[in-house]
Amino acid sequence: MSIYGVIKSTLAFMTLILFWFLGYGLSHYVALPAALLGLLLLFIVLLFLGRVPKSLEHVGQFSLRHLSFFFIPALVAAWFYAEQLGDKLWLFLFAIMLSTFTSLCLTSWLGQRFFGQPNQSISQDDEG
Amino acid sequence: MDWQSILALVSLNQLLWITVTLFVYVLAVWIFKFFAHNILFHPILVGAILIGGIAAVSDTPLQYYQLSVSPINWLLGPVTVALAIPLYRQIRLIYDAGSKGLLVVIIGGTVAPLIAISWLGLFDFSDPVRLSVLTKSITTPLAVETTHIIGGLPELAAAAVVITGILGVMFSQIVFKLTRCDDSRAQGLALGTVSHAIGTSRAHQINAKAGAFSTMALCVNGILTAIILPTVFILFG
Repeated sequence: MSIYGVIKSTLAFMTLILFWFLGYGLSHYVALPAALLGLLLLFIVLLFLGRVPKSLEHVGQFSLRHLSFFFIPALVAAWFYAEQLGDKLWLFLFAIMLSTFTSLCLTSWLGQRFFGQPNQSISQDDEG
Repeated sequence: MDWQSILALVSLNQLLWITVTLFVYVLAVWIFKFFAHNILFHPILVGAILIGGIAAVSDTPLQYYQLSVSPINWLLGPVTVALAIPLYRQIRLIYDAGSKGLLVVIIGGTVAPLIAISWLGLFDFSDPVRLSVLTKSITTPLAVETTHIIGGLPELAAAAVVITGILGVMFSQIVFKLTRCDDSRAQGLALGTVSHAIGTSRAHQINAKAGAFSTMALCVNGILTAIILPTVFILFG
């Protein structure tokens, strides 16, 4: 990557930070997560802009692809709670298991009912 | 020891543990690739186990590790903002899928936390623990902050999110056979609604259409949950 590219990527990441701060400022008035407000603000700006600037696209893709990295500390921290829950840990895990299985059944069944039939009116040309 | 040398020591340790976490992540990604993206070897899982192991061997208390890597948490906010880009990219898809697509996401996004919290309600769990499962189907950055606002335990919520993501992908093959779900759009919607980003990377393996629908479900469910939960808690809490 050229020095120019590095500067562009840095600026793009700064843009993300800027929007996060805007969201943070807004979160004093609206009781929603700061990151969510920043996300919505950036979304509105992109709608007005009508396109995603290339460097922002690259930085965004890179960040989201490596989202897992940011959660390693969180999962390490969860260990304390696992110890605290003790015997009830299995009940807690079962809650997650049960709800995940049920909602997966429900969404895939509903989705199949809505989208799975032939002669659908929904356009099929969109590959996103 | 004066405050300057304490500061120097802290930041040096921060640098050390952040670097360790980075290398562990790179290794975990490599391991994930080596096992052909088998969900049991997901980088978050392998990474956390490796860190736990390193901390145990080097006799570092986990609290100390947490303190050292706190700058990583700070970066999470700006990275979450980047979700606006896929949301913008999928806007046509959301429009095309219309109310049916939204209905699937909303029903799936409501049922999962309700079942989890009802089950926990049957047993003697503290309120913060119960509240921590409400965000289990949304992407971790939004889940952590939302849980913080409604009074749950963010770290436990993060664990619930990761476990949900991995279980969802593990169950998906059986469930899709059970519900005879063979449409890639429906599969993508289900994976994204239930298993957020982890489900979305699985959906991308199915095909591009499933990936696009999954991304859309991930964004819509995450945003709706992050808006609705705090609002409900302010109105009724």
